[in-house]
Amino acid sequence: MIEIVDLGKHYQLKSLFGKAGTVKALDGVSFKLEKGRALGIVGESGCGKSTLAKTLLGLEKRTFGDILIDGKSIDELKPQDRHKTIQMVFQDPYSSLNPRKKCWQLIAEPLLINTKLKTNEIREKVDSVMALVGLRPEHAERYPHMMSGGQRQRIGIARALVLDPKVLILDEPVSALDVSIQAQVLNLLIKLQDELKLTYLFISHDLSVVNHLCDQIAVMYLGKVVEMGPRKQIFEEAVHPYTKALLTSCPSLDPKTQHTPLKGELPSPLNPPEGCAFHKRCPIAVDQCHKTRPELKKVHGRFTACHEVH
Amino acid sequence: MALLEVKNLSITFDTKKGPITPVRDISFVIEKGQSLGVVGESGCGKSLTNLALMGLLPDNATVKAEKMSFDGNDLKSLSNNEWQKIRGNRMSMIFQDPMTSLNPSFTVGYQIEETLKLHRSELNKVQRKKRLLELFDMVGIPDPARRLSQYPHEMSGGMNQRVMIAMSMACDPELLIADEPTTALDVTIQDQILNLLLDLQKQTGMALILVTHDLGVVAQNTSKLQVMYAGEIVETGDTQSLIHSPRHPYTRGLLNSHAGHGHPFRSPLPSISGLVPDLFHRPKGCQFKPRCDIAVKECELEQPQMIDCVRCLKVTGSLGGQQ
Repeated sequence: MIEIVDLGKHYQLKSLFGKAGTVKALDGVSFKLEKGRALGIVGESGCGKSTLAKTLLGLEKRTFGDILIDGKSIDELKPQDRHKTIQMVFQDPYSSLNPRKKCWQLIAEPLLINTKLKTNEIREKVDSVMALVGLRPEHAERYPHMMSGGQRQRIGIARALVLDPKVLILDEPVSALDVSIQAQVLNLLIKLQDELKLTYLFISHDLSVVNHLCDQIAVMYLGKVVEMGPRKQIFEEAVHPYTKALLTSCPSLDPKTQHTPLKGELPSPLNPPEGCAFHKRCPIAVDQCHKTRPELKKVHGRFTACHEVH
Repeated sequence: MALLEVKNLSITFDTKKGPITPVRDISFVIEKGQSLGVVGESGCGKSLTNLALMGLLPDNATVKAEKMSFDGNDLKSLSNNEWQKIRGNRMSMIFQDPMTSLNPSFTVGYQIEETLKLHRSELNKVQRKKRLLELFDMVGIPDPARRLSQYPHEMSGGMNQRVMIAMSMACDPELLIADEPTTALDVTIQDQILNLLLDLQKQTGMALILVTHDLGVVAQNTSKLQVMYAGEIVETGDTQSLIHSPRHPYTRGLLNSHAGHGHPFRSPLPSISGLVPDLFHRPKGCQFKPRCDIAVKECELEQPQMIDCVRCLKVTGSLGGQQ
């Protein structure tokens, strides 16, 4: 089980004349995720979803808060053990693979760095992972440029799985792929999760993809979670005005239902508005929203941070 | 008379490995004020078709067409000078990434004014300024006077896309081609921009070609739709009827593989197996045959023609002639 307690990541900006300000990329995010479950994290660019992924992975040092794996703080783990626990699949299979390495070398790399396996053991492990993600043996000797987008993303998944992690962070794993290929990769991800009992943290801006795959959904806005709960609750009975706006602005295949698009844009994280971060774009904001920041509270079976939801 | 008429358009590139034809035998018509959606996966030739319409293809491309006319002007025989009079004036285009299509070293106001200087030379400086403010107001940029003197990096992606739209609307075009106008933007901003494009279309009565890979974007925003595969149009029709009763196996596959198409939670999504054909080794006969689930042997022999809005021998029942 993975638990995140009040996790925060602040960046200090420096200018010539000293401190210029703080960007609160991630500001007090907490959640629990049971083994074998999938949590979808949705939100627009700049809401802190990628910072969350990087902080979990240890690519960024957290400013405050704690990450617990099976009740133990992640700091107690050695870096190598941490890498064997949490792994990540990146968005763009075109730029996240070294073009000078062959497919099997790319997949073997985490093993070379984090384990003391012998060459033939590594080769065996690579072969079995390749089979698991649906890459054929003859792909092993190919370079990334010789492979299609879908196959490259399979390499990305294989190298994340080669260390047998418990938690997999998927940062927009299908958004760089064509629709017909997306379906193949999503099917693979569902199959892998069921077979290997993996815990997924699925970051995406595509709500329909998240809705298909994740049991739990967290909606983020400007470094904070604004609504979080079971999939059905969020997609069918969203209460937070931002979640509602996100759902209606998502293009769907059905004929247009009349709606007014959300006005304005994401405020600058360097200079977030007082009170609720969303109040400038919110259709139901009241005076209180300008002054005090709403806390996450439990309403109708989900957590939400809004003054106007009771 | 149709605003834009394209008949049997093919685009060929001479490459070191030999000639390839990424777009072949495309025909369509757009009436005044109509909106047309074009969907297809990457490499299906949708952007190349647009570039051909705008006369922006590189020199190593050869455009062949039986007919390519814009409001009675034959686009094939235009000289550079004549192109200048149409492009950006009566016909304009917005691109996918607003950050890379604006020049970072000039203010946005200057960049839009350039269009006016070229195509509306009768306007003086004051009138141009007035028109700029009007345009910014029209595309919903708040505080236009200040924004005009800003550089692209001082604005967000959504604002820059509004600037691009203002630029393309500067001369009241009769046809606007929007090539993936919202792909680089967030969903709530995408929603704003699509709404804006539709509003402008209604206000000005221009025709709109909306090119995208996202079926959701065209489903709600265009009246006609055409689906492209491997450089050919495989199906066209009314947007809603095409989406709800697709006939070509590729269109059907594309729609079915969409995660938002009412599939039960975590059920395997139907996917189209295989890959888009390599343009150097196009399959004989139907281009979709290697990936098609209803293909029969005859599909390999004969190239299907567009019959009754679908390019498929099996669906149109034209296999009969063989027997």
